[in-house]
Amino acid sequence: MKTSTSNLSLMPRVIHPQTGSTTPPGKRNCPFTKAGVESIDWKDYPTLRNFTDYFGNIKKRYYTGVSLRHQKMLRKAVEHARFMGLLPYRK
Amino acid sequence: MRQISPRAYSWGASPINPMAHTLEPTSEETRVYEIAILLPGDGADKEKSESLRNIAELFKEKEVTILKKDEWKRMGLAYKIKGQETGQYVIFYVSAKPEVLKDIDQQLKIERGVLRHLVIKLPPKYEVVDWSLHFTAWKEGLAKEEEARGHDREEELKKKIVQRATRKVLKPEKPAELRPAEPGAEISTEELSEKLGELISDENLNL
Repeated sequence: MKTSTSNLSLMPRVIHPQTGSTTPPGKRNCPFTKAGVESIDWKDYPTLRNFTDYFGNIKKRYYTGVSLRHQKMLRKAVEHARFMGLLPYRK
Repeated sequence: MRQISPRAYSWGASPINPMAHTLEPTSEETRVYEIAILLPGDGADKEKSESLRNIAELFKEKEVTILKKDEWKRMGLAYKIKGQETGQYVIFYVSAKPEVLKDIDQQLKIERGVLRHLVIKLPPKYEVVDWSLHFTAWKEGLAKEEEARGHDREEELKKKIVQRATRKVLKPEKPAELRPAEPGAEISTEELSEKLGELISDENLNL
């Protein structure tokens, strides 16, 4: 859609998982690597939210396409965010 | 449009938030740390200011220099903490000696007005970002996107309605055109005319 893409340029940088992509799971590219991310912040709620499912669990790397290096960072960030009350442990 | 390379435009920095910059420790003995504090949301301003003053005193005592202070707005929590459903985050970016952190951690645990606290070492080349601004910008963007989506849906619906209306107008014309083309219909008209002739020529009829 044209309208949504024009709004995205105004929106802050939010990274989305590859869950809906046409490439088969297990062979998806890492969205963090693509964006050149060096570290994941626990305060970045808009991004962390996309990598947790309805119940508050971290989504599997197999489906999101996140690289192992970034999945480790993501886990740490989500754990910090949960401790500080930004994300739920269990919904 | 200006192209930004991924290195220069790294994590957190965005066109909305150009204030992102890296932090440097004040001396060789110190390091840069992040101390995040969660204050209760429905506490009075007096209590909040008191706990903040206590923390400032603690930092002074331990020779901790505050590089940047980021105070977020009051917001809802993901789960209840000590009976509180809302809270306020205050994030300090400090440069401190590594030995001091244990004491600070313990003191913050004892501090009454603090719900949760987190002391972490920042990764190299970490860029400080105004996260509350980031969050509000993200929410606004989401709302705008949804509005645009709604607008698109309305337009699609309108198109569909127009298409349906045009179809209804076209439908009754088509069968009228098709009927005369059928071969059976022509024969039937000839037969009909013959029968009519016979009927009219019938002598029993009193016309």
